[in-house]
Amino acid sequence: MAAADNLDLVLAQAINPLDPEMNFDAVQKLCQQILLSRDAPQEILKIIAHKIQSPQEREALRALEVLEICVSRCGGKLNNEVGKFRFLNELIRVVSPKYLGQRAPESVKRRVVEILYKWSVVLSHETKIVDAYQMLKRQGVVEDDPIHVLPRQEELENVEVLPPREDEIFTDKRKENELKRLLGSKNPKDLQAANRLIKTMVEEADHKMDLKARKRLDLEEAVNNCAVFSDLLKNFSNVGTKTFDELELLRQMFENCDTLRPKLFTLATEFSLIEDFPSVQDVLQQNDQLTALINDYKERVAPLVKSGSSTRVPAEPQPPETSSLLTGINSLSSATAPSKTIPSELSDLKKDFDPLGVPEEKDDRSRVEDVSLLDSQISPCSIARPAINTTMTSTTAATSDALITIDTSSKSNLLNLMDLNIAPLDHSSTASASSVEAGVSSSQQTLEPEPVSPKGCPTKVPKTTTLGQQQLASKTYAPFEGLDAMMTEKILSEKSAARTVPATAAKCTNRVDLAAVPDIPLADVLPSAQPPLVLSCQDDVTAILSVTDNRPVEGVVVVLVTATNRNSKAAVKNFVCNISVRDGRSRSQHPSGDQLPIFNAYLPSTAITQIIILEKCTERVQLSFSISYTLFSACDQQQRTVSISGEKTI
Amino acid sequence: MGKIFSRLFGNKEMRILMLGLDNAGKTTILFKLKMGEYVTTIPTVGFNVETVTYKNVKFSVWDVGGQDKLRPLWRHYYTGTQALIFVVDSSDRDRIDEARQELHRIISDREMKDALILVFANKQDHKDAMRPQEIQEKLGLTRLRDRHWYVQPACATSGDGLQEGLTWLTVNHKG
Repeated sequence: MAAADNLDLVLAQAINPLDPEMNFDAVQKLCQQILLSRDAPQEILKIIAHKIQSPQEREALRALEVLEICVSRCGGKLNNEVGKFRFLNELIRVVSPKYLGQRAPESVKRRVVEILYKWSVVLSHETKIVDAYQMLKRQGVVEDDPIHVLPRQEELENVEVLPPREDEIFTDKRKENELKRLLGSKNPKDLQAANRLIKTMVEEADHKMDLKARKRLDLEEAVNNCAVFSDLLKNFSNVGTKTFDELELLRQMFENCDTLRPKLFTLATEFSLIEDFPSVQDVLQQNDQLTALINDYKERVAPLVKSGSSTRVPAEPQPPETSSLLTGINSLSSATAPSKTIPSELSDLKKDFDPLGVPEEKDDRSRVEDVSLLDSQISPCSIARPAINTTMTSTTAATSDALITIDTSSKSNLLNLMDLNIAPLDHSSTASASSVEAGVSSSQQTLEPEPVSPKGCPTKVPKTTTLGQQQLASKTYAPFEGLDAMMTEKILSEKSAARTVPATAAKCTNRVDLAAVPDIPLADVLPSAQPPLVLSCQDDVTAILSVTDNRPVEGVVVVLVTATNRNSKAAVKNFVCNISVRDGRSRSQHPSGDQLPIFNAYLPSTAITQIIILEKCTERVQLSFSISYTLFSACDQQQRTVSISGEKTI
Repeated sequence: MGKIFSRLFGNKEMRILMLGLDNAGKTTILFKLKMGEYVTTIPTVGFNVETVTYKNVKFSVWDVGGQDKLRPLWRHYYTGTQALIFVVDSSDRDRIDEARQELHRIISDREMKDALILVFANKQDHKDAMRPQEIQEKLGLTRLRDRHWYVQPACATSGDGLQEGLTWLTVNHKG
């Protein structure tokens, strides 16, 4: 009985006419009672029917209001009870002149009719309500339907319904259908697969978004630079006197914009890799604009710059010696290692290699160098810049040789290369200038670029030289002209490498006892000028192989594998790298560790280093590698094992 | 035998889709319903599905991640859904309008036309939480015609209101 007492109390609270406002908490409790107690709907309606007939107008109106809310919110059992004549008759009594109709207040009667009408529409399945209302109409108690109580059509339309959202995760129709199929399945395994599918797709989409945002910033930078350059050019008139400052400013802007071209090229490739084709379009447009601007500059301003300030501004066409030298450097750094090393460079180089435990620190530098390299490949003209800093000597040249090789055949490596290319503008321009300078000075010391015969690919040097000359010959820029040249060069080098490998691949004749070779501590590693190779670059985990100049005994080559993690979402565990030589043996020293923490931009990143001694039977060592590690995702605690294998020639 | 029993006791099954903005408390509600205890959760990517039997009705409850980028995937779960549980963070006044838009987007879909709408006005324990009356106004429920809906105040961490919500579903479920 306690529940019933409680019900009375709650109902009394809800209908209390002394409350100036409706007590919604009480109404909520009432609804709860109606839902939870089987008898509550009947009980409540009994009391409400009584209150509706109250002579006190306010109480009757409040009771009707509570009734309406309860019916609209609770549904089910209460609606069934409301639809019975037992309760409907009580309502009819209020409005019917035969009963209380004479003395009930007008407002109460109007409200009762409104409610009955509304229910006859909304609860049309309760047929007795419809009957009761029709009866009242027949008797003339109701003349016009109080249609205003129904939500108006325009009001309904006001509930704006937005179109279905565009799915940025399942852009692939095939994957979407797959998801649909898995979700519709009754098999728990399919459901698990669906969950996995969603997770991987979300990860992919996140990655794409990240990349897109980063690249967009790069593009914006290019656009801004272009705009400034274009304004300057527009205001520049051929007539009248030009001040030195004006020319100088233009020249600087030109240099800035010139370095943008390789960047735009990499951007276009990157955007197409993440299938962001509108952005590719933007980049191409931007490049067209830039090309036009540069051509305009060359036509109108460059001659003036040359004549106006010959002491500070370099001559536009390059002296032939420099160009041949340049292509020499290009060929060295792009494909094969120079056979000579320069002693004076070694100490400097060693400085670079020494903190190999933390190779990221060096990263920025190598990026700068890399841009200068690409820059020089794409537009040789731009290299002929003033030697701003003549004290920067052979170090830079040597490091630019020790760059990561460009392997356009694999997507991941290409991406890696692109990452390297994002360098501050002004840095790259000075760096490329200084590398030219450095090239000159180093040649004066020991390195003679012309006689350098890269082992294993004798056909290469002359070909690239002619290519370089072709590039130099072209006066104006065509969009991405450099790219073609670079690609051709790459193909050529690959072809020549392929030609030479079989010739040199012979069985080892004099065996070396690798076990007898003493361990090499990391600090004793002598970096070589040979460019490092990217073994793998997946999930932002990079493994790089660098050849060293250490020769503990004859007939071996010592390599260093460095693994870094730039993945901010997952840690690397159980990292294992195995390297074997095709025709010989290898011995791996203990790695510095097998774990890499999640990448944190604020902390110096750590690296796994491992020194491996390889038997060198042939001129070029053909090695196969396998790398495996487990990725521990921080956000969902999932782990994934990755294994990569491949072959490289050093 | 089983068939006879289920006919005798009216064992019913009901497919329920639980949606709502991120951080509304959907997963917490699901685990509270399933295990009766409060479990701390991480943002759902994908979905969780559990069966909960209550008052002879077997509910299979699909709790789907509510992050903005995941919402386009909701429509893949609509087919066969008999009731929508829309979970609202009652203390999040800033996003109640966003919740309204999402709710109407769901219920206007052809496949959801006949689904019951149960709104859990969750996090009622928070100070300054919106009351159910305010929520039903702000969600534009009062203007809906021909729809069966109910706003149930709830607190997923304590479990208050969850049973009542399921009761409303059992009472109003036909079939």
